[in-house]
Amino acid sequence: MINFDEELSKFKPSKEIDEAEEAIYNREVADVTDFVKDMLEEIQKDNQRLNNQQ
Amino acid sequence: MRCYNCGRQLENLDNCAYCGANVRMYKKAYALSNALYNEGLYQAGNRELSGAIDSLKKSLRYNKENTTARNLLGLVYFEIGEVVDALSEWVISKNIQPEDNLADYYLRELQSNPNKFEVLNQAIKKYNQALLYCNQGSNDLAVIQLRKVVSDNPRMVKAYQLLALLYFKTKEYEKARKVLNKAYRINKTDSTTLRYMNELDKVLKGGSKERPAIIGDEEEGKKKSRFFGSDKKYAESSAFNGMINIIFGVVLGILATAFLIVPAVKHKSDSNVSNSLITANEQLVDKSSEIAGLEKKIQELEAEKERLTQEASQTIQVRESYMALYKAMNLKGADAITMAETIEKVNADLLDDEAKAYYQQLKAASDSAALSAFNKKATESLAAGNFDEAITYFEKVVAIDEKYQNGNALISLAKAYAGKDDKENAKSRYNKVIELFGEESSAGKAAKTALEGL
Repeated sequence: MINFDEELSKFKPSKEIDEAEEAIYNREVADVTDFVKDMLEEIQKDNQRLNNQQ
Repeated sequence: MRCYNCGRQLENLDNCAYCGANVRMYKKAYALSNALYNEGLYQAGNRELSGAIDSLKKSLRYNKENTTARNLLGLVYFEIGEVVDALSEWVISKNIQPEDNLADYYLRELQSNPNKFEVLNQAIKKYNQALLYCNQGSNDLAVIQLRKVVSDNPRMVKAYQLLALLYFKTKEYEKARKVLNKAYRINKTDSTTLRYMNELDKVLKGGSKERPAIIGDEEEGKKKSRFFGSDKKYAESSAFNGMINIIFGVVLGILATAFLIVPAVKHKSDSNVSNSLITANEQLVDKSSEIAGLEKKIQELEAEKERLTQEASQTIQVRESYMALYKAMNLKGADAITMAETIEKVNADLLDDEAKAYYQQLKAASDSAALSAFNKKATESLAAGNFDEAITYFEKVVAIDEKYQNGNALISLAKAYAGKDDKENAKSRYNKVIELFGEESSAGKAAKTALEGL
């Protein structure tokens, strides 16, 4: 059975047109490639650090 | 397809020919992105919009530069009434691919109709207001607002859903069914819509757990995904488990402002300014007309005032004439001079015929008696050297009869003017004597002689 209050809490306010700029700014547009690139950079940095220690 | 590392065109190898970067997984991700785009396109065509959104989002996770998928995602968002999300996708797409991009067309379509744009924005505001009403317990007001929302934006699925929820509360199940049907026609795989329809069936049909009863094709609910062969109904995914926030953010924000907000705001501002100018000009014209009208009115009123003043003055004169006549008629035992002076105040032109007849009778009687009296008085004054008084009475005499005593009155009058050193009037009177009696008459000769002496 539908619980009105519980269902109502699931409805969130909609963004207005004026808030589009902020929405775009906050939009996550990274993809897997960026993730992999970042991972590779992290791996490289870690390798370098370990080599320097040795 | 370009290398993600150096941007050069890739060949059919697992490594980039220029920078040597391993592109095998990159190529797989690219291909997967395209496949998911195709999946999303198919679902969008079948109105499985929640599924389409999921597929297209995944497609972009594998390749953020898939502008085709991004444009389609924007379109799907627009179709379910999520205007801001749609705009976001199109602006980002335009940023990634500025040239030859369908997002250009979508954005231009929106911007070219500012009124429609504003209507959509108002629908969002009204939806938010309705939600506020619901949270405050003012469900009736919320229903009214939501009806306006779906009228302004008939694609706003969540407005239909909220409205259905409100109808559920008030047990208006048929109305709930109608709005849920509308929501279903827009997006057949929205989990909230499906859940509400199931509950509605339970309430109306008594516990049926089958797929929701809908108006339309019975086979709709049995369609399956072509690509993954899953029976699972696509529902909205949970929030995207975030990737790392990037440099794009600032650039995208600036581009969004430049492409979307500034032109729209400027257009609205220009429009507002133009409208204000037009309104101001119209008001100016109206005021000018009003002023011209008032000036004309003033002129008319001044003319009317002049006329009424003259009328009033004449009325007073008429009154004074009648008063003088009445007084003259009631003078008994008065001397001739008093009678004549009273009669003199009457302006016969202002009297009616009857009064004029009385006046003429009185005047005739008065004149004959007054002549000798005035003449005597004037002569006495002239002899005494009282020229002003002499002039006054001789003027009265000649006014009654200018030939009185064969011109002697006129000559005496001239003498009185001469005595007062008013040669002009004296000459005028002498000339009058000559004119009336001729130079050869005794009066004329006397006048001529006197003239020579002046």
